[in-house]
Amino acid sequence: MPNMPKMEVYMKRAMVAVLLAGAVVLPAFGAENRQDGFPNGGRLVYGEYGRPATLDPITSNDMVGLRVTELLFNGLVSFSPKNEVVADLAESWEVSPDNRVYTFKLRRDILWHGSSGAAGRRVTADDFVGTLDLIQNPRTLTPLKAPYELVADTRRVSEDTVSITLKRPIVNGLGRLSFKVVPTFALQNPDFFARDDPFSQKPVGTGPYRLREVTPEGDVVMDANQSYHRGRPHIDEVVLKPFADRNVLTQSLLFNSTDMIVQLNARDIAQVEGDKRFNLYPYNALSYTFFGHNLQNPHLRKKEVRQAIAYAVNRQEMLDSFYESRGTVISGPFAPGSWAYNLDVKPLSFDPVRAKELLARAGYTRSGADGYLMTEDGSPLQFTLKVPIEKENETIKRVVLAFQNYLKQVGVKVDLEFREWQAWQEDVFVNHDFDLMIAEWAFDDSADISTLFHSKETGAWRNNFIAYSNPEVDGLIIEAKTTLDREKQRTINQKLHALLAEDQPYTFLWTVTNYAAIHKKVRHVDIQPFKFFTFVDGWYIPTKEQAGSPE
Amino acid sequence: MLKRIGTTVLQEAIRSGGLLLVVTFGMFALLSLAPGDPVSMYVNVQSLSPEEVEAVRHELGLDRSFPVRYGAWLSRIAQGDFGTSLRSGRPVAQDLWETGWRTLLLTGSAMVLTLLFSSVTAYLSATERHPRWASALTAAGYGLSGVPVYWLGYVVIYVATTRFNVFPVMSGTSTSGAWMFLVPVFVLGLGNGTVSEVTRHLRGHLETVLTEDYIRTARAKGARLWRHLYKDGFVMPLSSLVASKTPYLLGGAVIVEQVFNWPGMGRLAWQAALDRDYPVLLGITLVAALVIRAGHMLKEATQVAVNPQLAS
Repeated sequence: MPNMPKMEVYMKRAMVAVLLAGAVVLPAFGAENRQDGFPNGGRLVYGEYGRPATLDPITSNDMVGLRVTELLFNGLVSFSPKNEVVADLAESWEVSPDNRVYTFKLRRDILWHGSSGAAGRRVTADDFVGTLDLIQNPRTLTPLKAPYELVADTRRVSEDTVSITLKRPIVNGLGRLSFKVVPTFALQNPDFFARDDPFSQKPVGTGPYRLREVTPEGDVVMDANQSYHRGRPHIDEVVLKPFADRNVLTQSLLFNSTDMIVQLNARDIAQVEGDKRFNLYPYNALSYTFFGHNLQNPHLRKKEVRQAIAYAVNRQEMLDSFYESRGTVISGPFAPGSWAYNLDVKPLSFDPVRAKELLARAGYTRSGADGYLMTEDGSPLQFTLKVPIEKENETIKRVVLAFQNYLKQVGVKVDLEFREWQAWQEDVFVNHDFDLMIAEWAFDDSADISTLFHSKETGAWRNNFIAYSNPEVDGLIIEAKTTLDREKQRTINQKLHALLAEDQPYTFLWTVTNYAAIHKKVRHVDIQPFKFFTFVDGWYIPTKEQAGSPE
Repeated sequence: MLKRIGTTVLQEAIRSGGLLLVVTFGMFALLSLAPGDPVSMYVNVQSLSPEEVEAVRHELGLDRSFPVRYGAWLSRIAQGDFGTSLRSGRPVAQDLWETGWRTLLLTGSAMVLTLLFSSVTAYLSATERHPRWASALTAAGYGLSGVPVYWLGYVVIYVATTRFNVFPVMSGTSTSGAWMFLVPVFVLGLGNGTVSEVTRHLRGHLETVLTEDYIRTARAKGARLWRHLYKDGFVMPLSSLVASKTPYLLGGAVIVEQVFNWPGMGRLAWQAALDRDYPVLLGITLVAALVIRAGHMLKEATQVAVNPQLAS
């Protein structure tokens, strides 16, 4: 433009100079050593039971793989150890008054891991738009499809600003938008993502660690990301070693083949605890174990029978014996760490006398020669308990044997049927061919039990496979889902808790505390209970202890 | 003689082709009949509507009928394309290659150990020298054959870790403990359940051969027994034993690989079965069947080479 005042020209030059300087300074700022004064270096080798199927955050559907993606990727937001939403790749955000539009301003110093043409390339709003479009593409097979179904639109507002519009307002929308961003420009097909895209085995992310290689034995070797936006992580190298046997996994820790196990086997906790080389870190997932009663069984339809089963079983004793008391007996349909849990509702006590009374009241008064109560047609009162076998969980076997025994004491016969995992799923979810079953539910922070207990959630592969139907519960569930007021939600959930504790559609058992076992040389360990490696960049190994890592 | 071996090999190849077809078809049928499918590896089935689950099945090609799927797989195999793993997306051929040679190494070495142990025991028993050694080894053989291989594996690990303070499990970069490879070989070689049978078979054969006239002549001449004995007494029975015991060793390898974390085909097969990862499973079936058939063909060729009268 002609006649530009001299000031502006100078300013323009100055601006350019600052921008250039900024472009040089900002990445370096990220790559500086953190200000915490802890040393860099060392190697962390951790063992897992099972191997990751894929290493990208879109297709990952197994716990081992998901944990690796936490090392390699980031999202707009992350979570503090107390599960509050904190900024990650976004530096700030705004929410529209109708709670539907979330506008994120991105940090400008995020770089993709330096490999395959993405070296030094900045993460921009396009990447977030691309990632969400990828997730929502019908041809992409991803478990993220359902949670992100509520995103109506994603658009780039500017290079550093992205806005996400939800179909409807929800509580804690921010926490729901924590998906990890992938470089869609580096994919074979930027529109949809399939597992045979090499990216799923050679991922590129923004996380504290970048993938160096996967060895032929299946070890996943990762190096520290020098340009990580929170400062390069202290530990130089992290290696995942997959194991096919739980006992051998523990042995590998004790024999210095690994430094850490993310989830220690229940029966090995005592042994590792006594070993001075390791620290145990408890963390609670939002999950609980339960026995489900098929309400299509005429006997189980009687509330007294279900309550009797709960009174007949000594849950605290089982927890003490099989899990060394590391957990909490629960009274209702939420995990005790959840904000929705009603602490006023106490678990039913162990009272076999009461159990027998309840069974008598339900009409089971005569006993057969074998000691079991008899139904009207003279057959013993018996149920088939279907137990899933998945990767050799021997503690569950002890639990169900004890359960069988407790129920025998009150005159109820339980037949155990162990079924392979997929076969079990078909029995329970599709054919509803069971009387009792045992399983564990894992929840996210929303504490949404609607799919478990709402009368409409029946049918193949629906979560209400017990066919529970209670109009009062239905009404409360709908209310809890639609309200935007967190406090109101809490009150409703607590009421639900009390109702379901009384009705006993499940025999609620316990939440077990998980333990990670980590070698003492690793310091400053912070664990996010649901996203284990969130704070791995702050862990460090003192210089003296860095050498002599396992091979 | 080469021509005779050549004809035999050709006949076997044709027979093998037919067998492989039957075996892979059978495996495919088994997978189709088994409850469950790979869908739950990809998505959380409970969070989707039935239509969405069907869409996933369609994307994976699982909604096509069984003969169509088998035909598609067959035509790809004919072109050398083993497909990609449903679980990891990696090419199946690559997985088979990387794990296959490791399992071959393990089972091959284990087979050598089995035959070595049995041969020594059989020879000592048949020739009735060192009778106490013979009895001891035979008894040991029976004991080992009755023991489940995973139990033996755990016991060996226990002894190694507590008595010798050594952790004999594969965990990554193997150069530091190449000798540790011998431990799973030891477990599989002696624990696969065939040791006593192989010993009996060999001993019976040796005893028969020892009574033959030409052996008595050799003995009378003062010639060394072994030179005259080995063809009929060892090579013949050994070759058929190798062929017939290979399946047991492959089966035992599945368990030993789990316990010792050996990155072989057995471990891959177990994971693939759980996931209903049929491209991988079919690839493994094909390779295993090929190996067993190759064993048979080798046996036929060896026997014809040793005793040309057998080629008929």
